[in-house]
Amino acid sequence: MARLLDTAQRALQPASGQPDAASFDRQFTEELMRIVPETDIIALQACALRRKTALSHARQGARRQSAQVFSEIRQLLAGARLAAPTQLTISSFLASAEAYHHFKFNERGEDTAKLMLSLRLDRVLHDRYRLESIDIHRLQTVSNFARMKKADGDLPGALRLLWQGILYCNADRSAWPFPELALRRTGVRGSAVWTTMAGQLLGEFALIISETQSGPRRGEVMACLKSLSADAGAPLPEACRAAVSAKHALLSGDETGVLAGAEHALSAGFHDNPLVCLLLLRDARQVLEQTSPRDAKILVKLMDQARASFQRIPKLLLEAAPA
Amino acid sequence: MLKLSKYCIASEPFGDFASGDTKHVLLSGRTGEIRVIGAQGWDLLSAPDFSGNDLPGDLRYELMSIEALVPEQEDELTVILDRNRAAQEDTGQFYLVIQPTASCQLGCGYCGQAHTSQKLDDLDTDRLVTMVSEKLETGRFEHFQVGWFGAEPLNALSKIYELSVAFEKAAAKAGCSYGAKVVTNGMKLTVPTALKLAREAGVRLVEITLDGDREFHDKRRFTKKNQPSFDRIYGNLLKVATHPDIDFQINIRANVDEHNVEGVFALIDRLASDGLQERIRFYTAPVHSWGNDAHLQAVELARYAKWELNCLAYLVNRGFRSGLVPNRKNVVCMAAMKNGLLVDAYGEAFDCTEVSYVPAYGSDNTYKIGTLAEGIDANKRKIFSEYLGNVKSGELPCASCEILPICGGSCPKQWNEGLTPCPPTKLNIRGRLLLHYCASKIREEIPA
Repeated sequence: MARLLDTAQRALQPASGQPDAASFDRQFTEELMRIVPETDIIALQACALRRKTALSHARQGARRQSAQVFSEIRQLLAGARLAAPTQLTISSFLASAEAYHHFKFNERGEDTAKLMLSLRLDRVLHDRYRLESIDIHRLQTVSNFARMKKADGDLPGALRLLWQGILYCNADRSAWPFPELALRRTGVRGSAVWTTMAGQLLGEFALIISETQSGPRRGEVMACLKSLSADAGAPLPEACRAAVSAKHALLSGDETGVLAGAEHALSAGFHDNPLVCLLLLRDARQVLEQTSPRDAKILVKLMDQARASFQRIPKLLLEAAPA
Repeated sequence: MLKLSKYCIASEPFGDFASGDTKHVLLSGRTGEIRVIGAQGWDLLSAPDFSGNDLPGDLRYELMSIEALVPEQEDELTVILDRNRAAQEDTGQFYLVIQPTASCQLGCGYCGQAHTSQKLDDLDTDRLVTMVSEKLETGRFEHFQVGWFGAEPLNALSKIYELSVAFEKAAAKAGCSYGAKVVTNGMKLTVPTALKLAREAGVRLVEITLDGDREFHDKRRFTKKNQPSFDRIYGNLLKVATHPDIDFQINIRANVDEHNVEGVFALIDRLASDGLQERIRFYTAPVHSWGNDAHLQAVELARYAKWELNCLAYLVNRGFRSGLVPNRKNVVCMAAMKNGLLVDAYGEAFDCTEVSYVPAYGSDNTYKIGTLAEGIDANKRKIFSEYLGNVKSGELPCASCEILPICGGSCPKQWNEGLTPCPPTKLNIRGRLLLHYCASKIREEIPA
């Protein structure tokens, strides 16, 4: 137990060289500026700001206001003479944002259509214009597809998509869930952003499992988890394996397995993924409340620290983070 | 390419003694955001050949984020009107104004209403509760807001309590939050009444009218038996505002015309000497037509605008918190709300708070849109709902007005009647921006 607390404490310390929101934005912007004319940067910024406003309206349930601002972006796009990669970039991010609008207001069918459009546009940006970091946006889209499946009640479908995303982050090209939209070549893996993205997908994966832990769909989720683990081709990072093992233990009612898996996952490297830390610690707390309430209280404090760490999730990945 | 928004308003330059720089206060009307910009930056922005390329990147981005800079080809008027239209459809709130009685103790000269002892009867009460329940059960609303207006609503307190119980129940059943406000002359706003309104009627805001200090107020807001009212109203206000268990917001409004413009500062002094600065919000409004000629006694707009600025400065100096710069106004008033409605004591329905009980609009009131008994005729809402179209077509001068986003058009009813309801803000907005900056500096130097 002391080791788990100690490991959790260390896991929540900011790691040196950890990617932050500003560095990701810079990386994406630098790459973008290599392929779009300087005069188009203003249009990109204007559309990004309007998109933020539209999403804010949608989150607050203001459907018409959200739709109105999306309409403004389309008019800006139509009226401005922009280079092809600029148009593609604006259109792709616009499609993703509109997909959220359709999803939020239960306009099913249109939401997935817009996500597919975004994937198609991103493929062109990557393969033709060599915008490598757009691959992260594609993974965000996969994550959003998973959320839609979850909302539709297709939990195995959601888990499978997220799992494929995690494998893809770990350089398994064959795991990409939409083969008809596979990239001609993929960029180098191993950088911090891929680790963080994998961690975020794993966080969503773990969230689904946590939410169904004591419900009627537990058996269905357990079966899916078993089949995914068996199917994994490329080697997974140790942290991912351990986190999945901890979740499996949770579903099986194996308390020792929960604590051991949490400790193993945290020590193997989730220092930059507070969401997964939070979920693993929550499971451990649940076990400890029965066996060692004092230690459970210490864990609660560590979990509060983990929540504060949400600030550190890079902006590119923020939209996928669950509320 | 970018352009400076036509709704971006800059104050006159001022010298910042601390830094030695010359600056402007900038208001982006499209978002209501305020910034301070150096003179050099403003010179770049306001240059005739401005395109956005010369600005430093971070300044350009910041100005774009507050929509002070917009794409060159954008039709800004259309954007503002479309956003307003979308907001009017999307408030998520059902706003119901109820005048539970047509009676009022006072006989104010500028009031256009004819008062009687009529109260909302039991049949119409039931119809109202049914209408509200059905509306809330559609699930379209997150909040149900009631405004108790008059005549004088506190002359029908039992009706307020009766309806409040039913409304809170209906809101809870529909999963909506509930809130209420009262606009009152203050004559019956005793502490027990205030406590009961807060605890049992969900009241969160009370607005009381005081037209200046005693000498000026009593010349125009006297009872129907020609008795003064100031001492009673102010006495009630003081007790309610200082009671430890009453925490609803209190607004004090002064209606100003040529006859009392000199009496407002004395009222501010009285409120300040009684230590009410933190407890109330004080504001003035020019007297306007209420289906009568009251507007002919109004202070001329330019003079009023200057006076108002002095009044606001005086309020700041005396420690009051005032709304110095208007926010973005997507929805000009209840008339523009898709889900706004007023019901009077006769069971008649309107979409404006200034038209019921007004004999000048005919015995079958021109502005009536229905009754509780017969229902609402949606076509009759057109008088005000077409207002945005009139702006778009250029029929109204709002189309070219720089304050449209923060004014919203002021008053569709007055435009409809051929009047020009431009607010004094149109003329004193630049002064307000400077005052806002000064007030913020005072707050910085003297933290609470």
